[in-house]
Amino acid sequence: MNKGYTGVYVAKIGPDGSQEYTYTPYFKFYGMYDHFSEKKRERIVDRAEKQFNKRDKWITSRRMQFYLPHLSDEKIFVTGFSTIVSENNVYLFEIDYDGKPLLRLNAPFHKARNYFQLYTKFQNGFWAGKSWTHDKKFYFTSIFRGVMNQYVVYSDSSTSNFKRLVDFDPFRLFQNVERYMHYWYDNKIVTGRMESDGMNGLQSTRTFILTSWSICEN
Amino acid sequence: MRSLFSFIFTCILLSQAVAQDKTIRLPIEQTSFGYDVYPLDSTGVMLLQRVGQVKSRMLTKKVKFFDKDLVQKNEFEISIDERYIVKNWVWDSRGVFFLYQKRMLQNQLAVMHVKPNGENEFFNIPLAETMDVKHFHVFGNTAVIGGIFEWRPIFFLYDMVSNRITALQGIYDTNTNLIQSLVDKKYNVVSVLTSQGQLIGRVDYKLSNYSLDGTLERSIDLKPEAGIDLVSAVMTNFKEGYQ
Repeated sequence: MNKGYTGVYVAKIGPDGSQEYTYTPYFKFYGMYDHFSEKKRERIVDRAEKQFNKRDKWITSRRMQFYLPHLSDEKIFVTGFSTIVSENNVYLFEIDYDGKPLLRLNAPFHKARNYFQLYTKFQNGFWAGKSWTHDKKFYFTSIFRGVMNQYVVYSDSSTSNFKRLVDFDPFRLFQNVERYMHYWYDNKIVTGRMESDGMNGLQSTRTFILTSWSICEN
Repeated sequence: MRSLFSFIFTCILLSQAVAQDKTIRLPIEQTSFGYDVYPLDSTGVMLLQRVGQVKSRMLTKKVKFFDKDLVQKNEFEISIDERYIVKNWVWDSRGVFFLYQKRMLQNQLAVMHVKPNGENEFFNIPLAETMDVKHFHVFGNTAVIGGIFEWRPIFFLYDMVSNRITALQGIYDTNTNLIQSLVDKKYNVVSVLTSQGQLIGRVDYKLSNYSLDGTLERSIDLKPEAGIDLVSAVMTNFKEGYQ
């Protein structure tokens, strides 16, 4: 939204087509600025609150780009990224039906502006990111540039966590390999990658490696 | 130094909350480019050769099917007229549905359903004009296809049993963009989010819900309050009438 208001509107569409809107400015989401120092974080939030209380509106150049939100367990789960390119964070929001933010996770993340649009696909045609809900938990997985960054983010009301999934030999990072990561079912993902010994030129042996994973809480 | 890196990565692997269930290794021929991976829910995983061979205008690719324990259960080949290219695909427990389009004229779509048992079905969808396909879903025997047709957005349902096409109403309009589409199989609802640019630079967003037979059930203009303009919008899945 614009015209002096920067934040998230949650529109609750009822079965009869009715609309109820709630507005939450970004600074009211918990830990939105956790990646800054405590001093800077407090200064940003204090200033935003003063402006919001005084004028009933607040604007910032920092906006969110959202993945597909999910309705589950009477909550809305959605993953977002800042539109500021230098901010390499993924935000995991849990919002109740009245628009009240319940949980927010701020995880370091490698991001490239063009890679994480809503409908972004990699050159091989597969999605850059995928989010889903299962057993009252929210999962977000993504793969970046095929090799370096595979993350798993999951959350529920009591815990939140993000994990980096490392399924490759770190000494083969710079080889030209294709990689896939898909949501499979329940809490499972499946990855595929091609590997070459890369040492003997035309004599090199190439292998396709298919792996199933379960995302656990511990 | 290498030992130190190995130790660090070992620590990371041990501390993570992601358990590696099973890994299988498939040798790849020198002329091959590996496989594309298609998960089929709890049915298993399908691997499709990335690059196939063309014989007599038919492109043939090898397919491997694994169950959910990654045990190979089937291996077969699929063939498609090489004048078609894959535009999109979806998968579910029944297999993979590929949406093809004629490469040059682009006035012919086709859906190929590749099943884990090696069978496949092919459905031709003739179009009157070139179409730029953007969205593709399958639920039951119905394919939902959306894209740009004659410079305007269009969505239609294609029944793979009766071969019938049903256009979704209220989308084909000037100055309209397709933002998002979802199919909620549990409630048999197709949701389409569109935006329409206005003369003064505002963008209006509209959410439309359709039933399984293509009937427009409700259409909602998203308007928070007077003076507030939305700069972007995304919609959730459909749940008991709420969205």
